[in-house]
Amino acid sequence: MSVLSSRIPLAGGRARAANQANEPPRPRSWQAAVFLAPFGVLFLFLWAVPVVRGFYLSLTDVNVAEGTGGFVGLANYADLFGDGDFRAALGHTVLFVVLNVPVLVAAGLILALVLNRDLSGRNLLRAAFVGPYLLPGAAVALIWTLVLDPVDGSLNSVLEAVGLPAQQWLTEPGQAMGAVVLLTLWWRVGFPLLILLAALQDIPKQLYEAARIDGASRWQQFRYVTLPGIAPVLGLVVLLRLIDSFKVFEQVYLLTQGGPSGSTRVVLQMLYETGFRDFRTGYAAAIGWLLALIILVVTIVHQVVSRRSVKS
Amino acid sequence: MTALAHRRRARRLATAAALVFAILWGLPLLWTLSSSFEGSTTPGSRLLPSDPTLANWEMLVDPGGRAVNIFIAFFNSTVVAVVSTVLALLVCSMAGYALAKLPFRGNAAVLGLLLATMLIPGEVVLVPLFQQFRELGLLNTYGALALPHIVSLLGVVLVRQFIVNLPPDLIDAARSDGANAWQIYRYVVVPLIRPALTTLGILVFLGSWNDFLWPLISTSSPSMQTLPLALVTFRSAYGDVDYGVVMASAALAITPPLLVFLFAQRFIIAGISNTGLKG
Repeated sequence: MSVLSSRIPLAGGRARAANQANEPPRPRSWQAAVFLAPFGVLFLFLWAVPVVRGFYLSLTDVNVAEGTGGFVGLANYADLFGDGDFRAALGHTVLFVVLNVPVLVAAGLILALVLNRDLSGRNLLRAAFVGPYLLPGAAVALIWTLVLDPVDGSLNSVLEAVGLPAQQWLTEPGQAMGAVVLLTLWWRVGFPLLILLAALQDIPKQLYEAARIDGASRWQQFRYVTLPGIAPVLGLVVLLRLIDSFKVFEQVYLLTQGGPSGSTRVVLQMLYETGFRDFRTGYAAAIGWLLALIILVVTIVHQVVSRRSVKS
Repeated sequence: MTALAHRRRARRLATAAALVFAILWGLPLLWTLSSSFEGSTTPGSRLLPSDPTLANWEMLVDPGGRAVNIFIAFFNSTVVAVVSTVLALLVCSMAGYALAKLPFRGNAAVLGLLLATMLIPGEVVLVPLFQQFRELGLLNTYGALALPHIVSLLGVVLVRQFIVNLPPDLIDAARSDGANAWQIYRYVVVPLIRPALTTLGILVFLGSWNDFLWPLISTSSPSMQTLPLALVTFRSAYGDVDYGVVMASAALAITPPLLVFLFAQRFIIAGISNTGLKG
């Protein structure tokens, strides 16, 4: 019986073993298997097998519609590096990341700092910023298509009301990405806001009192108390936003369909169109793996940089 | 006194500034709601409908043989979201319980595998997942739409962590009383981890309700469309003609998430703040 064996501390066993001696009989491992089985089966079918198959597919030129294709080695990856479409899509994605991450994190931080103060109706204000975060992107894009309408759109009405010129927004290649970033700010700002607000509330009040007694100005309090206090969380928020922004798809696809003239077509849209419209399955799988690889590299670089800045 | 008055004024100013932004943030949603009751067909940005009518909503309820029936999509989305949520709660809490409380060889390896898999973006498996569902003839089924939402890696980790942090006395007491693993799970653990399950349930429900890319890939038949897909079809069918109806469809799609938010705000805020979940 396992009861017996668990009561005998093993020679050289850790301190834990001594504690176990007082514990009641422990369950057997087949029970763990039973409880893990439903999740395990689904995990195999929906994650483990597809990850491996996806990698294999990325080494083939399979076309599901025609039922053709065979092993081609790393040819898809080599093709991707020379593929102008892919390079353009990657460029648009990187542009979105570079615009979106700072805007979103900065706005989230400013809102969190304001909402962290002693305001009346704070919960209501917070709800206004968090609400959009929970909405389906398809509905958000639909609403924003009308908000951004050059003729009847409400955003241009607002601009004109305050004396600014109306904009073309979605039909102007130079502005379409800006419009996407604006929508994303409205839709997603609740996320950095909530995490940073929680981090701000975790900073002990005594630190601010001590800083004030030492005669620190508001800026100095922010620089030497607030910022170090939220630094780890801020780093995490930046990383999560980076990862999420590389996977941008639905708001762009639904707002601009990648246009005007392809100026907002992102990597995931290319993956979708390659794999599920043109049915170039192998090539699409390679795009998916390359995107994952890029995200992995970004994650590692982020970790290295943030670890180094902690040291210094 | 003057310092106090000064502080009060600063507070009022900050409140006013925050309020202005909060109203700005709410405007698109107010416009959506107001336009869904708009009788005039010219789009515009009015806070109140110029010609209030229920016709737009009536058109959604009674499609009268039009190509797109939003209510079928609403029904599909509801079925998929509810089924995903219930099954995810069951499957993830069972696995989380096993990882937290049932010792077995390879426990650490399983946990490590889950955490490593969380680093892989789901987009990597889109293509092979489509292949697998296709081979099994499961495309265009509720199963295809719901299954990927059931396996929440984060859900298992979340539940496991919550159970690990529970005081061990209750579970030990139940075990001494002769309760078996299932009874402990069902009558001791599940009631204790309700907060974690609520958070997970909301996340899975919203994730499923809001999902766009996977339904787009895994369904082709109009009768299996979920609401986000139907919105797109609907817009291309009526967008230029009848903008009030389109806004009514958008209002319909955002209502359930907003209701969830209204009734479970505490859990949502806690869920996002504490776990940094799901972006």
